Amino acid sequence: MRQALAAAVGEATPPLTFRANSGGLFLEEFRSDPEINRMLFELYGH
Amino acid sequence: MPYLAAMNPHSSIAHYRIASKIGAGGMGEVYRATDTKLGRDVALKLLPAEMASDPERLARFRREARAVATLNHPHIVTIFSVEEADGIHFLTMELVEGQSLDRLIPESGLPVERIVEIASALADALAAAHDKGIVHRDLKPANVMVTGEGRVKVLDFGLAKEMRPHDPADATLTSAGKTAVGVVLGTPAYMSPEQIAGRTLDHRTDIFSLGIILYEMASGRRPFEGASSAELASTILRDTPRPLTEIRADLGNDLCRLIQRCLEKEPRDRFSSARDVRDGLQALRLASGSGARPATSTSPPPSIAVLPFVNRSGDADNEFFSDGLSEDLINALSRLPGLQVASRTSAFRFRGGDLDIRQIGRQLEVATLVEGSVRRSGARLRVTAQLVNAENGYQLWSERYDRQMADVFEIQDEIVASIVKAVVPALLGDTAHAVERSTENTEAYELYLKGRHYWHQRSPSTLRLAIQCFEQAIQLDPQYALAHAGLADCYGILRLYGWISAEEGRPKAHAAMTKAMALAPASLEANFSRAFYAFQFERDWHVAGTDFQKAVAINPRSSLAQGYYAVFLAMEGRADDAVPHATLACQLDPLSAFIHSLASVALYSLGRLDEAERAAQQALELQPDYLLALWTRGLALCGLGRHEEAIQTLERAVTLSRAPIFVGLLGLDTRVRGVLMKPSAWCVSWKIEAAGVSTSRPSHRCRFTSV
Repeated sequence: MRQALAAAVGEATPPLTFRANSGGLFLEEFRSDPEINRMLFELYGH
Repeated sequence: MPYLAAMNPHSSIAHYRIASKIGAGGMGEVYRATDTKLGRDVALKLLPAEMASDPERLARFRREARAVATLNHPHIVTIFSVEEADGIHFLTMELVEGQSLDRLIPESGLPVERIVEIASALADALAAAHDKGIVHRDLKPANVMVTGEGRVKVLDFGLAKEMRPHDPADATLTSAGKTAVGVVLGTPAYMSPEQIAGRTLDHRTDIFSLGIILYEMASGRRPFEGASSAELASTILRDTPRPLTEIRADLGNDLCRLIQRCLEKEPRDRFSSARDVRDGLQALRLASGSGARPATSTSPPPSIAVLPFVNRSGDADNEFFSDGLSEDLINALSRLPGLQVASRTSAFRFRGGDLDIRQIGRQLEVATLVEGSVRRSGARLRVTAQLVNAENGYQLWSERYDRQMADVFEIQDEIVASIVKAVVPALLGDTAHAVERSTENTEAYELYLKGRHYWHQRSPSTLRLAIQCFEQAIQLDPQYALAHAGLADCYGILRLYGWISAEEGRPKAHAAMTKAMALAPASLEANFSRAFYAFQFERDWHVAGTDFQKAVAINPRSSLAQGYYAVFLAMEGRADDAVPHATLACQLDPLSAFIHSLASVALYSLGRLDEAERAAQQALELQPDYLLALWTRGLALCGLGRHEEAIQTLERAVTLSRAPIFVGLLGLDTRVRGVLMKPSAWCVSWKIEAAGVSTSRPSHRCRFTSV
């Protein structure tokens, strides 16, 4: 999942595209992982 | 009877010191008290003696109270505890200082802004409780407190069922009649038909009660009245309330319709949720600016739709021009305060149809329609336009313009002025140059119209054509702000669907939107473009939020701006703000597949999958095979576990577009189908792998693994 997120961050996937195609709010459940949280922050800005 | 002795002022019960009695009724006595342990004032409610002596009923009440105590909502009075001391059963609650709503409604009703404000708070409270399966069952003005600062608090959530001497769910005409022989029972004035008839209740009973309160706040009287409880109950079951529009002229049609829908006899005909009521109310507030603005006359506000002008040039390629002319008229008319204008997508659905003008008027809910034609021959231009009364089909005005192409802007201004003169004469002074002229170059203007024509189609090939048009327009007039904005929007859409990479799109979009902002910083188009750019390319949420907000402020009736702002807010997780904007966008453009799809995207982003699926389905009913709707419906179906339908929907999207985002979702590997068939494994694997979906190189990135 981290790799997948890093790829999305790396290629600047638009947040809307990413949110939709990653299962809506599904990844929010993994915010407790600091690295995932950081990358989600980069993707979503929050 | 220990209660009376215990509850004298200055007496105590457990660690509560009684201060004064603040209420009494069939549901027990209420005292102001001080919690001496925590040092705070509370409301202390004694349970009726007959309940306290019935262990089963008491147990049910405790369970209900515990559930209500979990509600933490600014518009619901908080329950602190359910206790027993010295054989006295009581509950303690947040102490609300103020007046109950029944004392605040004047004979002529409340101001519209206040109605919407209070109703929004009530609907919000109901939505929160309904989410937890708690139904009030006894919503009435006496159960609504309004504090000195104007804050609204609902009392007695979910407690009515157990606290009443008789369960209102069991209240039939017969039991309602018992009041006549002295049995204490709450008035049926606020009961739903199903409640009176003793049928099974769900959350929609509260929506009916809310409708009665709304009606009362609006008119100063209840919608159903009767000399006795039985007569009143019969009226609720049978009669249709007098239309509010007949009682009070300044309410506005939308608010009246909303109230009427709450009061439908059949629960299925009402709003399906309190959240929908709240969203409808919020949309009313947004539509009228900062607050719900009362209408100023007894007649409905003037309204108009501009149908697409018919291209009579004998050349199908000229259709963009006739469409563009119509669109510019729509934009110009939309800027006039006090005039409601049907949006482009809704009006353009009637292109080439054979519907009677009166039917079109009814469907678009407008009083007047503009139709016309355009014939071009070289530089010569003939435009005909007529204004028609949609109610009776009579022509109100018509004109023919034989001019040169260079005069196109004057023709538009003249048409707008003529329409306004006929429909809303009071606005006449505002119409000079109502049509936005950001270029004087008619060739550039023509190219711009062509570019927007292609942009609206939103496919890779038409977006490329749109880019060409905008670029050529800019070559002819480098100061043409709208063409720069259009160019930036094209790259934004291409990026959204993954048809270009960020590296390719970002610099071009940035240059175009920067130029647009420099040339026309106050325009809707430039602000929208900057917001869209910040959203799609930079993840700059601050700029995106500010500019989307600015765009909707410039023209609150722009469904495009409202729709995208809703999506933006949804992405920020701001459901309370997002949904009203999405609702308003759909109200402004009810026949637009695109706008319903945007609403679906917003709802999906909020995790409201059922509603997202319904919105997408609505879009597909309006326009089958609409790409954005297929996408968002496929996603919602995935989330709902309806995998076969999801596959079919997304496969259709792939077939139609080959857009990388759709291909990525389905995967290019045939193994995917195998995984998709196993929902339990698929849900996780798809979601994780889809996180790595590349919007530029799907074939390399979209790998699905089983879990």
